[in-house]
Amino acid sequence: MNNQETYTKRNMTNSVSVVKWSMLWAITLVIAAALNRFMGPLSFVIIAGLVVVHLVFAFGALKAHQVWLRGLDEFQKQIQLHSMAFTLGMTWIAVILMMLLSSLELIEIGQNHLVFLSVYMAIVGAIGTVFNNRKSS
Amino acid sequence: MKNRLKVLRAERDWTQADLAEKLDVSRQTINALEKGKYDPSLPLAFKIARLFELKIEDIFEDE
Repeated sequence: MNNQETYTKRNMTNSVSVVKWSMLWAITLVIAAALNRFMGPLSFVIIAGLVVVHLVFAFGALKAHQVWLRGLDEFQKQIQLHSMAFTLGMTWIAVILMMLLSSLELIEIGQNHLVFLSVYMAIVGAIGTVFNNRKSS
Repeated sequence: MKNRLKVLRAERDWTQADLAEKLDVSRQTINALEKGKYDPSLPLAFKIARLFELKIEDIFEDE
C-alpha cells in the first residue's frame, strides 16, 4: 500500500469513525425521548443508564473527532481551524443575540432554542468548511 | 511565497496525486502549494526538499 492510499484510507477510516460515534450519540437522544413518551416517567435506574450511555457515546465522538483532526495534513488542519473559529464566532453572535432578545422580553429561551443552536452550529460549521476549502484551492 | 513545485513535479512526470502520495498529504494540499495559496511548515518544506534532493531555498523563494 502506498502513502497516498494510507493518507486517504486513514482519513476515510477516521471520518467513518466520527460519523459512527456521532450517530450513536444522537440516537441516545431519540431513545430517551421515545422511552419518556411511550413508557411514561422513567425510573432513576433507566435515566441514570441513559445518561451514562449518552456520555460514553459523547466522549467517543469527541475522541473520534480528535483522531480525525490528528490524521489530517497541515493544510487541512488549517482549513478546519478557520472553520472552527468561524463557527465559534458565529455561535457567540447567536447566543449573545438570543440573550439580548430575551432581556428585551422579545423571546423566552427554551429547549427549542437549544435545539436551534445545535443545528445552527452544524450548518455554520459546514458552511465555514466549504467556504475555506474553496478559498484555499 | 513563490515556489518551483509545479516545474519540479513536471520534470519528473509526476501528477499531483503522485506527489501527494510521496509526501503523505492530500492532493488538495499539493494544489494549494503549487498555486502559492499555502506556505508549508518547515517540516513539510524539508520533506519536499529531501524528496527533490534540493535545498529549501532552491524550491521556495521569498517574494
